[in-house]
Amino acid sequence: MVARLKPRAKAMTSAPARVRRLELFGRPPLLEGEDEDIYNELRDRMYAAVDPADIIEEMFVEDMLYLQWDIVRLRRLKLSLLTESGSEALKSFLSANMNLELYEDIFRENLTQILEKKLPKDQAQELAEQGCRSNEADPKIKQLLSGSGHDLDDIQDAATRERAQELAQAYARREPEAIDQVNEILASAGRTMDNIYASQLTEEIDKIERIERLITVAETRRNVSLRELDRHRAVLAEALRQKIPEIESTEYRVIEPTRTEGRARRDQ
Amino acid sequence: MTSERKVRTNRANARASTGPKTARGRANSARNALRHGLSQPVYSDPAWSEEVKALAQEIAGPDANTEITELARRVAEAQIELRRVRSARNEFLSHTLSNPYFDSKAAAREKARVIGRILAGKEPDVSMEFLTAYLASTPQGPEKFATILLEAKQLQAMERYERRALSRRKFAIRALDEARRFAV
Repeated sequence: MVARLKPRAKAMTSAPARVRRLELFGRPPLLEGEDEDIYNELRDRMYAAVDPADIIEEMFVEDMLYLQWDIVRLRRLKLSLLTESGSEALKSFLSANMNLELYEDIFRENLTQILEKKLPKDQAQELAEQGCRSNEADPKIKQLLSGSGHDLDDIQDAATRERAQELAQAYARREPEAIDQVNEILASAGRTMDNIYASQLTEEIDKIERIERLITVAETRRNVSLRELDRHRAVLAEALRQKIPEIESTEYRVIEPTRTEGRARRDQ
Repeated sequence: MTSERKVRTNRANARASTGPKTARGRANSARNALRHGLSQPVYSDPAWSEEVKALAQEIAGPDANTEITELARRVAEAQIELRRVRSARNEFLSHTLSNPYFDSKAAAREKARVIGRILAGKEPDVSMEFLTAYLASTPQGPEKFATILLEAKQLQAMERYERRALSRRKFAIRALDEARRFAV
């Protein structure tokens, strides 16, 4: 198929053409968060490239447009799913393997805030400091916390999760410091990022497989539409070829100029 | 060659399995076509029917003979069918994605089990805060979309309807092209 950008193709983007297409093919298949301008751009480019000659060809273009949009959507979904699940896997791994020094500041701050409800500020800070550094202060802290419905292990877990999330997000943004820290934790646990992603992929494999299948179905249908468009054009071309000799063999009648036209020509 | 005895048995089995027998089964079966309405022919809806008529006229063009008009109608019917299926799919996806309570079947079952245990006085050994957050949690973003694609049976049914409509349209267009080729 040859890409052509003709004045006629450009005219397909005009308002009346869009209204007509809306009547024939319905509203664009957009979901929440999808950009209508990008969809319209894709459609205009497809119409310009294919330059449909009749309504049947327009149907095929609309098909390819619908399916291409779906393919892009599904590919994006697959990528997001893998990225997000990889990030979740990394977060879980970091939560389970992180050293105290990496989340100590959050743990101390959260613990101080809770202890401040029971103790003066300086005493709360001192006790929280002791609690972070050794287990000796644990009984005293646990006693203070027991009355307020808090648990020391829960506070520590929450601090670990919070820092793990921050670190995983910074790693996804490719911040050098975060990359170094994550690599260090991975090395100390004898793991690699591939291991982490692979373990998560096993959990998401059903969804990935389904998305892959839907992409294949959409690609096959798009290719069939393309093939049928070519076939339809070939039939039209064949019909035209058959018609040409008939047109060429037509005897043309010479139209004599009228008296007035003849005089006007002579006057010139 | 199938034996006489086998034929008799097949016929007897076929007579025995003629759809739902109970009133409840029949009521369920009667609602099948109404779930998304896609099994209803386009002509059952006056609005779609009008669309078919208009599109068929555009496909056939002016001065079309009876054969071309009929074939154009078949193409239009399949095209409108396709449009109807795709609209239904889009509407279903939009609606489900915007449902804040959508959950995967496995997660919903697990949560129901946890609630059952709580009601039976066997609370799990986790904090109330964690438990509340777990019960209120639902998949979000790409996870939610992927879960819908994986689990929604309606989408699988719509996929089948779309395939059939595409196939019908393909053969209808081929027949129309062929008729036009000979009409030249």
